[in-house]
Amino acid sequence: MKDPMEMKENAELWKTLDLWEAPPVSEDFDRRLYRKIEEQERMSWWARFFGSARPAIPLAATACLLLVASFVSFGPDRVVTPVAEAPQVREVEQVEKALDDLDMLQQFNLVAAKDDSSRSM
Amino acid sequence: MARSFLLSAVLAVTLAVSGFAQRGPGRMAPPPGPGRGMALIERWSKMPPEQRERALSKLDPERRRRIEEQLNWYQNLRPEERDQLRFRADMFNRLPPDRQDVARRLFRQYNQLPLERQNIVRDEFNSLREMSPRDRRARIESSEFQEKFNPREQQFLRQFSRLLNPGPMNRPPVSGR
Repeated sequence: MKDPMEMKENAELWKTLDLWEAPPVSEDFDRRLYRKIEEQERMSWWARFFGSARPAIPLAATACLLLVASFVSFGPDRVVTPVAEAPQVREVEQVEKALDDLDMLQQFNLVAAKDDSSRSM
Repeated sequence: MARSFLLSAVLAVTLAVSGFAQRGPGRMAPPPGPGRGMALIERWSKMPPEQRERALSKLDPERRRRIEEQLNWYQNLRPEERDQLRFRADMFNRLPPDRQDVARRLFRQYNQLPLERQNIVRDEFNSLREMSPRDRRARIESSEFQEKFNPREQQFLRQFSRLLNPGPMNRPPVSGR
C-alpha cells in the first residue's frame, strides 16, 4: 500500500507538469531533421569519426604527446648511452680486482708445495 | 570507436615506456667467470696507451696511477714469470668465491702491517707453504711461532695457510717469492 504522503507529492508533481507548456514544434522540423540525416550519410567515414569522437580528441592528443615524450625521455639514444658506458666502468673494476689478485698471488703462492691431503690441518 | 582509439593510444604509451624500461640491466655484460680476470689483464696490458688512458680517464688520479703501474709491471714480466702467475691465478680461481674473498680480506690486513713485519710474515708463510700439513700445524702451535709473531700476525698466518690449495698433480716449477 502506498504512503498517502507520497501519493500527495506525486499528484502535486503531475499538476506542476501539466502547467508546463512545451514550445510548439516548428513547421519545418521534419524537413530539417531528414536533411541532417542525409548530410550525415553523405559524410566520409573520417569526418563522421571525428564528428562523433570530438570529445575524445583532447585525450587522444594527450596520449600521443605522452608517447612522444616517452620516446624523447627513454628513447634509444638516452638508453644506449649508460648501457655503453656501464661495461666500460665495470671492466675497469674487474681489471682493478684482477690486478689486486695478481699482486696478492705474486707475494703469496697459495699452491701448497707438499700435497698431503690425507692429513689435513 | 573513439574509446578504442583512446585505449590503443594508452596501450601504445604503456608498451613504449615498459619496453624501454626493460632495456637497461638486460643488456649488461655477463658477470666475469674464472680466468676472465687474466684475459682482461692480458688485453689491457696490450692496449694502445691512448686507448687505455681514455678508459681510465674517469678514475681519480691515485687509482689510475695504481692501475697503470700494475699493468706496466705485468707487461714487463718475463714470459716464465707470467706463466707462473697465470698458474697461481688459475689455482686461485678454483677456490670457492667465499674463500677467494677471505684471501682478499686477509691480504688487505697484511698490507696494513708495517713494511718490515710484512717481509717477516711473508717469509714465514713461504716456509709454512713448503711444509706438510702436519708440520705446518706443529709450527703454528710452537712456542717459537707464538713468540715471533703478535696475535694479529699469527691469525693472518693461520688463516692464510688454511687457504693453501694442494694443486694439480702436474704443476709448473713453483717459485716462491
